Amino acid sequence: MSLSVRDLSVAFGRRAPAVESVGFELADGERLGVIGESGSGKSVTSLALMGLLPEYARVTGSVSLDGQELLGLGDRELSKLRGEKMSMVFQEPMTALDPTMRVGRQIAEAYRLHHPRSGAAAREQVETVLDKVGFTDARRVSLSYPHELSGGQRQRVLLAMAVVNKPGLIIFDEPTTALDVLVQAEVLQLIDATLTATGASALFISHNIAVVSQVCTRAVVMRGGRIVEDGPIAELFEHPKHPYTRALVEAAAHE
Amino acid sequence: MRRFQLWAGTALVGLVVLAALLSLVWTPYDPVQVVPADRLLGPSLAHPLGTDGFGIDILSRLLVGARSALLVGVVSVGLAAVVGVPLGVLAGMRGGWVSELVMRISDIVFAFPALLLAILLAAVYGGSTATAMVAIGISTIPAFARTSRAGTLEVMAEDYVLAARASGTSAPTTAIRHVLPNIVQFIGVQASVGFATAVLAEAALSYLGLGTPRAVPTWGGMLRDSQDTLFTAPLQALWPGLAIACAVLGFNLLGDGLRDALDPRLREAK
Ligand SMILES: Nc1ncnc2c1ncn2[C@@H]1O[C@H](COP(=O)(O)OP(=O)(O)OP(=O)(O)O)[C@@H](O)[C@H]1O
Ligand SMILES: [Mg+2]
Repeated sequence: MSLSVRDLSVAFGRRAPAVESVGFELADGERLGVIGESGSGKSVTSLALMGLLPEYARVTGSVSLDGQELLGLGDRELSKLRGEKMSMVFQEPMTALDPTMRVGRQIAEAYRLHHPRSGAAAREQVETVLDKVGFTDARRVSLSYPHELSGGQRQRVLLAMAVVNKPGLIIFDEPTTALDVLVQAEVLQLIDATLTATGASALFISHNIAVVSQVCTRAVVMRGGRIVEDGPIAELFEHPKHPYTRALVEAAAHE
Repeated sequence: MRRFQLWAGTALVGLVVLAALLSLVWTPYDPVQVVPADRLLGPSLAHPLGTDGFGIDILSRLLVGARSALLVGVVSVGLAAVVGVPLGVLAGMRGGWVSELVMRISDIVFAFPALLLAILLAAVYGGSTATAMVAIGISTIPAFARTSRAGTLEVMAEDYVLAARASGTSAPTTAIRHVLPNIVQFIGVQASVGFATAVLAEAALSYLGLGTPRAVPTWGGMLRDSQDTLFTAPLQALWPGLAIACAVLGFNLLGDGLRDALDPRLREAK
């Protein structure tokens, strides 16, 4: 799906805007990286796209998904789009799964929301999608509670939950930051493969330009709620125009 | 220590429940039949706890009293939870003016003495177990609303709520599927504390004649009746007092024990 963001600003209360005049275009099947330090407004931007900011957030500008304007839609309309047309993978696999529910049921519920009366088909879908994200023991995993799984396993479950309805756009908010390096590489590969297989467009957020470069070829750099530079990642690496981008590239080289 | 609270609470509450159940099928004597010849007997084999000023076996009245204590507890706590929990969850999820409104109304109801409410209700509808339950129930609503709101705020800050919303779960479904199951331990604790308060309040209202009618055995009513002969037969006041203390302590211990047993952080630490 194509995504067009124009002049997006978000402010909380009377504080200075957390996101200011952000704009970018994402073509069907394209992947865009969003790079920036902690507090630069990456998560606020992605939540604004999903319509998931708290009510007291003032959001202005335009977000259009395949030509449909999302800002101003009510919760009911947005709930139909979320999961089905666009979904999201969060940073903290430890907290992004409901501790009171078996993970299989959580994925099944996500599927049923958009396929009511699917019954046994939902259970089948759960195992299929768990297979796809690399579990060889899908049935056992689906019967586990989140605390019985490792961080990498949980992040794969979250990925399964995000793709179970085959959305055209997936937003990844630092999906590997909480994982150790080896698991991180594994999950990144899995994300890359999943995106290739489904042809979904993706917004991939990270503070680490090296991580972004493993999934995307193009990226925007955010700082203080604004986009300060954008272009092909190779270009950002070799000829960073903004001093901040240069600092990010150096930081990545050290990591 | 944690274990002890849970067990002691369960034992005491279990005792009250057993007494209530037993009274349904068996009591040593008729709990309402006046026997003038047997007035104010001390404890004996025939009457283990003695008899009251009407010659009625105290043990029998105590057993039947457990019923009304539990009934009032269950109904008033149930009423308070059914109204208070949804309001608290709504306030916690919506925030803003909805939250303000719910919390201010809560404050007002909380500040309004339950006793005054009971007197008002008794004045309009006549004092009965029902008016006592409604008065106690209404005055317990704020406690449930506040606890649920606090719990909801905590849960709403968790990523799994966002993740569920990002999958297309609507706000009302999120409340039922993800918020309620995760605040149920707070509600459970509040319920057991509310139970203790209700047992005490029912005793107080019966004592004042604003609750259950005099003929029906209640612990509060027994306390009131014991007043006339307090100096000649002090034990008469002791038994219902002990029963009330036992139930209140039991529910409080159970509440504390439950909170500790259900707190995931404490559970993980084990
Ligand atoms: N719900 C909120 N209410 C008020 N301020 C908020 C809220 N959410 C975010 N902010 C503010 O918006 C700014 C941007 O936060 P954001 O979470 O988007 O940063 P980020 O780039 O995702 O950082 P990180 O890498 O740490 O996740 C921060 O200054 C933060 O304090
Ligand atoms: Mg973030």
